[in-house]
Amino acid sequence: MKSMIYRDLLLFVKKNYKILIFIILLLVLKTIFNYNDFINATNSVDNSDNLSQNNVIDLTPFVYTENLFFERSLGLTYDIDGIIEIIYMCLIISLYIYVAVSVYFSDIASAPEQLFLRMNKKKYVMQKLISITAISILIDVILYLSLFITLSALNVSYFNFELLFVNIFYKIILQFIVIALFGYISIYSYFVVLGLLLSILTFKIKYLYFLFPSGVKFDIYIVIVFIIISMFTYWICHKKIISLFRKEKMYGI
Amino acid sequence: MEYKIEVKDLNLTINSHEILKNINLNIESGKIYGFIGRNGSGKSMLLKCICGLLKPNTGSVIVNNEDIYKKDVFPSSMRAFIDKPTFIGSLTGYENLELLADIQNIIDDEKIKDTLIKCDLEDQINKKYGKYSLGMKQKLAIASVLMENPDIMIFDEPFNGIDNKSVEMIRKIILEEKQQGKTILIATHIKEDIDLLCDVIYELDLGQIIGK
Repeated sequence: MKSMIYRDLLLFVKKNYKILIFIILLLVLKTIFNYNDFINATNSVDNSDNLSQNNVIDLTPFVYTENLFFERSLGLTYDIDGIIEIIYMCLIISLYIYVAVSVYFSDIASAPEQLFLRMNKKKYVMQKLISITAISILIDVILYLSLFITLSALNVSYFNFELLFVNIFYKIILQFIVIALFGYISIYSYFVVLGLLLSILTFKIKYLYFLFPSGVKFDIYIVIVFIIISMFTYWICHKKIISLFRKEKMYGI
Repeated sequence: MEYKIEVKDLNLTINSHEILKNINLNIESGKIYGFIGRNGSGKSMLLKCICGLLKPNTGSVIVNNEDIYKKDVFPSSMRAFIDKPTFIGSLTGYENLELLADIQNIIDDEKIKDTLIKCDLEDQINKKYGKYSLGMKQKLAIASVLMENPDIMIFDEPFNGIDNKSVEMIRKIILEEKQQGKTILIATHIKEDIDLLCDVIYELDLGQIIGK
């Protein structure tokens, strides 16, 4: 299983490294573009607490400000109020959907007999879902690191990993749901996972409402985005796997 | 293990082109079966159907009394090399085989190395696949079929791009596998390969078996 994830990762990076570089570049440019927002945010509070001795601006205390510019910089746009943010968010969502499609297609394009004669349908599906999760998480980590490095280069200090962990958690939950929908775990487990997800989202909405009474619209968007990603990923995986194992669609037929 | 493959009334049509027409075959253990025919005669498509990679419009492929298309399974203990060899260019030949071997985990590292040596790739074990010549790529694909000691082996144009000395060596390997009771299917357009190796020869043209 481990080696197959490594195989999928290598094939994905080899085929798509230009897309990854493009997304990272876009994130860096957008972060630089949002630099004034970062600085403006610090004006609303007492600067003396947030400027260190070497004049590095520490943005960590502003993570939960009303503007949520950090999340915007990562494409996790809670507060969608600009065309650049919307475009960037769409790109990020498209990237994750593309990851799913690309990982499934990689084996059809390259010698399917090597894999399909060695593993059954269930093992194949599980392995692919794990590969997609692993690659998505890796992209998350790369994007966060790019953000931190860019901010550091701008003389801004920001270290908050909560969003990264939440993001990774969402992706793992999403894959559980996809697996459940395919019937690979019992229907009972599916409701447990779904219940857990809804509880997290409800908690998060309440938590954020409590913190930001005026920023009520942000979490509705993340729920919608998450549902869209779930539906698309499910649809793509379902379509692909069914066609793969019915075999009519193999070799582009 | 005794293996029996039956291909019954197999027809395959792609985009209204008839690729395979009414194919009937009986394949038994311990023999080498050759499929000869010019380019586009349907050899590779027939092998893909036998592997379970391509579903025919009508007809069936029965491996050990199990219709692989009704049960939606790939035959067990079958390995194949069809079309061109495809591996990961940034890995060495050994690493590529190791990745494949890890799926079922039935052989150890020594067996992988032995197979590479057997296929005359001893000096290329640590060379990146991307730097392999066509002949080396072919030999690696053959090694990927051989390494797990399957009961049925399928080779599509196995001697493409391979020098004469290596062709002799691979012929010898194939004959050794036959002596161990393995079933081997070879498709090629080179008559000499077929004549030297095969016990049963099927000639294909325009998707039909025109001679046995």
